Amino acid sequence: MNNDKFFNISPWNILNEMLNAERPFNSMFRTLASRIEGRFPPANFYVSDKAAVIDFEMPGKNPDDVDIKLEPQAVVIEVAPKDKAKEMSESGKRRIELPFSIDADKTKAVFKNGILRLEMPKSESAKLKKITIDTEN
Amino acid sequence: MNKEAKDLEKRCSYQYQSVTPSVYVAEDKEGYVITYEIPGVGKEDVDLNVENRTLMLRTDNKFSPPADFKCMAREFPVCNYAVSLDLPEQADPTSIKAKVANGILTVKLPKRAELQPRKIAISQ
Repeated sequence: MNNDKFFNISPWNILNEMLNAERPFNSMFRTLASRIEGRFPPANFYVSDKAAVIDFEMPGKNPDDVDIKLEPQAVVIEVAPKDKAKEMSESGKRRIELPFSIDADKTKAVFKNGILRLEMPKSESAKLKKITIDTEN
Repeated sequence: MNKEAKDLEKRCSYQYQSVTPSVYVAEDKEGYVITYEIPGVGKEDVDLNVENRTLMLRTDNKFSPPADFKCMAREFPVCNYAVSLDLPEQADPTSIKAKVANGILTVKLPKRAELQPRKIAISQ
């Protein structure tokens, strides 16, 4: 069953950050470029000690058009507009690996003005734990 | 405050650099539908003006990246949008309608009344 073709991208390394320098350019070209690279919907990635945030850009889509599935350490997003006749009815699917395992129950997704923000807190098990060292004499 | 000073103040308050958004224009018998892709921009942050048959769009994008987070990769810019379109001769700029939904600005621009299709009543 699992013959869906999607790109597996791990955006959390420094090389990617360098390649994706802040460089606004025409959004039509951008959409085209992301389609060619298999990066649709385009996303911005943010990380802190406690959580990871991904913003997906999808103007003209409704929350109903989007399907989000969480894996312990990855997120799969699928965009498939219900209204196929509409212009700008791009669809796409991508799987994004996360830098740490996340707490699926506390994950929030908010859709506002064509941008979907996915906020995924780190799971308790992924947080840094200090190990106390016992001495044996 | 005069108009120019107000304008300048407004322009300087724009947080981000402006880019040209994707614009789609469709035409039918009644008029034109202009669609702008402006993700991140809400209804109250759109500034749409008509002057001398030019339709000008500017936005004040309030969308902000999450605070206290480090950006790891960027595939789309968070920016403002600005574009001016010359309106066609057939268009009637006095009855423009615009709405913003899900990051899409849709402008309905009817053609002049005398160019609208109409049915001729047949008299007996």
